[in-house]
Amino acid sequence: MTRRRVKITERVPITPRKVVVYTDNLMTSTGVRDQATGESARDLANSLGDTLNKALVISTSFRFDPELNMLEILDPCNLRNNIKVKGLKNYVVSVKMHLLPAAAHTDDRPASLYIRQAMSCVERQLGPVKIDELFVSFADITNHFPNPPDSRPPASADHDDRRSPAILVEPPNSDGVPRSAPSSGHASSVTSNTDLHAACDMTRYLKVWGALNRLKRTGKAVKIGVCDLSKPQLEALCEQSGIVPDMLQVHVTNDPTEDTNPLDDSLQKLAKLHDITIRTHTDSMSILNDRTFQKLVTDFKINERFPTTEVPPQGYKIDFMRPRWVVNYNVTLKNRGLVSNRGYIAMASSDCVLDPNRTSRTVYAPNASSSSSSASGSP
Amino acid sequence: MEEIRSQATDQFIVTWESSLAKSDNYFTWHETIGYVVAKRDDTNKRILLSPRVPEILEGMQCVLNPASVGTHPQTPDTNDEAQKPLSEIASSTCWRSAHARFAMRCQPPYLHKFSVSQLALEIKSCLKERRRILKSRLQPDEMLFSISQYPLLGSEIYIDGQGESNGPLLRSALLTDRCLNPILPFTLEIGGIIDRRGSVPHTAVPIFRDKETTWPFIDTRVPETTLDYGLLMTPISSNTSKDESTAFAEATTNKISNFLSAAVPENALHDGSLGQNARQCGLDGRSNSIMLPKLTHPLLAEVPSAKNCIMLDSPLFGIGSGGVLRVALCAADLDEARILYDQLAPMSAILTALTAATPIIRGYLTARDCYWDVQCSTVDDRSAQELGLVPLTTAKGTLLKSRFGSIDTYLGPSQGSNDLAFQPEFNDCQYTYDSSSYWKMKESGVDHLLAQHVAHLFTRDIHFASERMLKVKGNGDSKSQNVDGQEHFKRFLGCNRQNVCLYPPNTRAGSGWEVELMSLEVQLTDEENAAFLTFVVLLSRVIISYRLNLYLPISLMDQNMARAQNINAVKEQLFYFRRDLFGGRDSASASSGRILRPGSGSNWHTTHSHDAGSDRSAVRRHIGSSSPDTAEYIELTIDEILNGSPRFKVTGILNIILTYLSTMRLEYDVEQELRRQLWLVRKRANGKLCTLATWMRKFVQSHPAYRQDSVVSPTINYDLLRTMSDIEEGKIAAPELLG
Repeated sequence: MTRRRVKITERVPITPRKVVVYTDNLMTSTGVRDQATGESARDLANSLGDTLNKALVISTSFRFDPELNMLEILDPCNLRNNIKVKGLKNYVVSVKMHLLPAAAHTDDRPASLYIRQAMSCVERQLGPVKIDELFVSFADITNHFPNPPDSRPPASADHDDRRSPAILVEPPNSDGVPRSAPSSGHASSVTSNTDLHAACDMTRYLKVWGALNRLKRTGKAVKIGVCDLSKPQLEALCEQSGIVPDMLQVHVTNDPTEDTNPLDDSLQKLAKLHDITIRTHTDSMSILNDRTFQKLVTDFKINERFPTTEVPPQGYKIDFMRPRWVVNYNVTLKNRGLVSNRGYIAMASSDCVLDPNRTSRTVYAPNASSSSSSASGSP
Repeated sequence: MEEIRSQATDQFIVTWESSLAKSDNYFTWHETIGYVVAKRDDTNKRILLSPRVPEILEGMQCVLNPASVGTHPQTPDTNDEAQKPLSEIASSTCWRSAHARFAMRCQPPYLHKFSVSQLALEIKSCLKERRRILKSRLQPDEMLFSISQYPLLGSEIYIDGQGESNGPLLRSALLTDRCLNPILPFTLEIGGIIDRRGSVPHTAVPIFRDKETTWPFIDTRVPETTLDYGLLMTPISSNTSKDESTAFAEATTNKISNFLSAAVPENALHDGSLGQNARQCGLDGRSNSIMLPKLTHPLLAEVPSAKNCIMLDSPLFGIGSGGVLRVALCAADLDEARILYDQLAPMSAILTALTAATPIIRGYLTARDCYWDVQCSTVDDRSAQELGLVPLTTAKGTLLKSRFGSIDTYLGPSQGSNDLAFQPEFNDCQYTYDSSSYWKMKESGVDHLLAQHVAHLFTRDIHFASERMLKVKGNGDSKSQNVDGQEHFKRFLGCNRQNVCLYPPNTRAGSGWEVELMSLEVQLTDEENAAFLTFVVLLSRVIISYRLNLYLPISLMDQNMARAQNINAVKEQLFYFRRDLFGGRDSASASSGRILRPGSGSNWHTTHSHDAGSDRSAVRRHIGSSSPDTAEYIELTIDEILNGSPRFKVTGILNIILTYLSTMRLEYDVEQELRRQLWLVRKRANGKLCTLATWMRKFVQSHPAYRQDSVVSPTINYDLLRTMSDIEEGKIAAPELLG
């Protein structure tokens, strides 16, 4: 297996290697039990664990694309479809793309290249399908929970257990917590006008949003949507990009004690005005954090199995892999009300970071790291 | 009869063959809801049944044509009307009269094309609109109820213009002929049941023992002499082999001992009164409604009595006299129908307990909350031979269950399926099937399990055949003539009503194979009915999407059904249920796909089934293993089955449905409404909301006129039904019932 040596410049620390994990069709796998917990982060972590176990331990199922410098790990018994009925058509493919905190580049903007990358991975997994619904969820904007981020539901306890103290690299509260603390349809944590202004500043997402719109224009996606925006954020996005989403996803809780999830009236009115359908999701606040992924990498010895051959520039080192995006796809038969395929694709890659032996590295996250951005000379 | 049976077999084979190549692109479904019309007499503080239903339906231009019995909703494609919201087409609902003059059924005019938003937003308003239309046709003093039985039916006075009992049509000491809708198919069916059995089928329902209830309770309304009618008095022929009879008695006694110990509370039956014969009759799991014929059988020395039981003496008590709630799901093809049939069957007991709504029968509080067993027992047309009371001479075999009852066999997957969930040992109860039709079907290529199921249906006789039907003759002709109709086969289907029924594709309506769930009890309000309809429809989607494995051995399913009908079963009973609903479908998930039977072959069954009198922790022992993590089946409360239990690592059906809903990425309004509906089911399951049966029981027991003697007087009944009507109309809030 030959790997292209990627030239790494000091100016832009690019990702030397990408690892993509494709889960099984979760409607058929044993991991389906975890879905019913309603904790999508736990569901994803377990599904990735299952897949890595099957693909690397039980059997061998991976491929390497030297062009893209991409290692793809696939579930060996990947079923396209679990509904064994003849002559059915009218599948609806719904894709939700979670851009994780690490998807932000040094310019503090989520990189639109990940959209293209994710779409190509979806195509590899599902075949050349038309995507009927494409949602994008920005990790740093999904402050959709009425509870403060540190009051995690007890159901996530196991999820936390997966983390090894050895790989704790971030303070606990930084997982997916927005830096600018934007408000949402449920709970407003905005206290001052400055914060409000910062929360409503959607310019960081315009590139990605534009990339989604291009997919719509070219016919690759039929409807595009965003997730967990508050009314001011939705207004700002429409205004600043000139692109009105077809759908807005809001979070609803699976809490058995609550039968309904109230939604901001003004948001509903705005959505009606712009003909935006409000859809629901029950995804976790942070669908995949660095620690969970690192734990999987360590458990399944991905670095040892697939040692990287890239050489970092002087003074830099190749950091551990961080998940950049997660795609959750569902294939449903709307007219029969059946779900035939459901799964995740997760992509992680490594950064080049300053060698701690040269400069002390206090905070890891590039968007919060003054040292890495100053050293890389951000544009 | 044999000729009709043979033609019916041919018809089934033709239907089966023609359905093989077809599959439906849309999922369609429909519901059947039944209502009862009552008349209010405020002066005398009485509410009686109103026999005006045929008249009301006539006024709505719904005259029942005997030939139209068994009509079916049309497929929506054929008519633009189906595209309209359901509440707008409610006016064209198919209203039908039932066997009783005071009951009616309604079905949608078209099969509902499945959409989640329709379930959430339209069903409830459609039900409300139907009720409004019906009410608009009633007289000012009439009331409409969706209840499974009028509480005083068969008591002293129960219907307007009651007349004399022991009429020629019903031959009942309790019900007058005024109750029966005198339309030929109905009278023939009722008469057919009585004639075939050889006597009026008597049903005994254990009475609820309150502080002042006369004990032992003796029902004086049904004279004991009437129990001596008919075949049951036929003397045992002298050449009967004693060994055979003894073996039969022993076998049956052994088989049902678990049922009885589990299902009949000690206070329900008088000690010692439950004789061997009663046990035989309760063999099919109907242990709570035991027929007690007076016998002089040499082997059954202990003559059972009707002590502590309320006696019912007419098939009309069980057929077409109350409200119903049934859901029929049209599968894409036979494979999918078989999955739904098998997987919904174990759920039926759970749903029965959740929808329990019949604590009062004939003006007495009973020791049961549901009507299922009473219904099955009252229409029992088995002859003495089929019951096993006399040696078989002409009958096809001993039939352990009434023609209405729980299923005897699972259908399993079709040939060539790679579904490993079904195991032949799940069909662990004895059943009889018609061998000639079985072999005929086998020769035509029908697989063993399906042929066995259909041949089992053919063990029952149809009660009448119209001249038109009899004209369909001959094999060669019948095949060509009957491609569009399955009259004979459908008549046999009509004679059998199980907790789930499989219906062949309706060629006239164009629907596919249908599976109908029959065990739900109708709820008081449209909100509740809509919630349970939604739950069942979503459950069916989840079963297929996730390929859930809910299989239970038939014997355990029957035990569940018996437990489900006990008082407050939702809160107090444990039900056998599969722990891991996701395992065993294929080799990848086969971690627990086999029945674990550690030790001897039968201890998994016998050692864990006695729950009466044992403490709760002992009851919690799990079938198959001491470890809850690996046991195949465990005993769970309904709360644990529906809402999940981390302790037993049980996922919870409602949680799976919620996951399914989030996978569908629904619109906000739709999801909120669905959650509201499921919330009702969730609260019923965890006991925060009570069932209608519990509510009615509490109402009666706290009524000032109640004398703690289990008697529901006309005055109590008046107040009860008035309050129920007000709750249904929203005039009174019932937070304990509806939240």
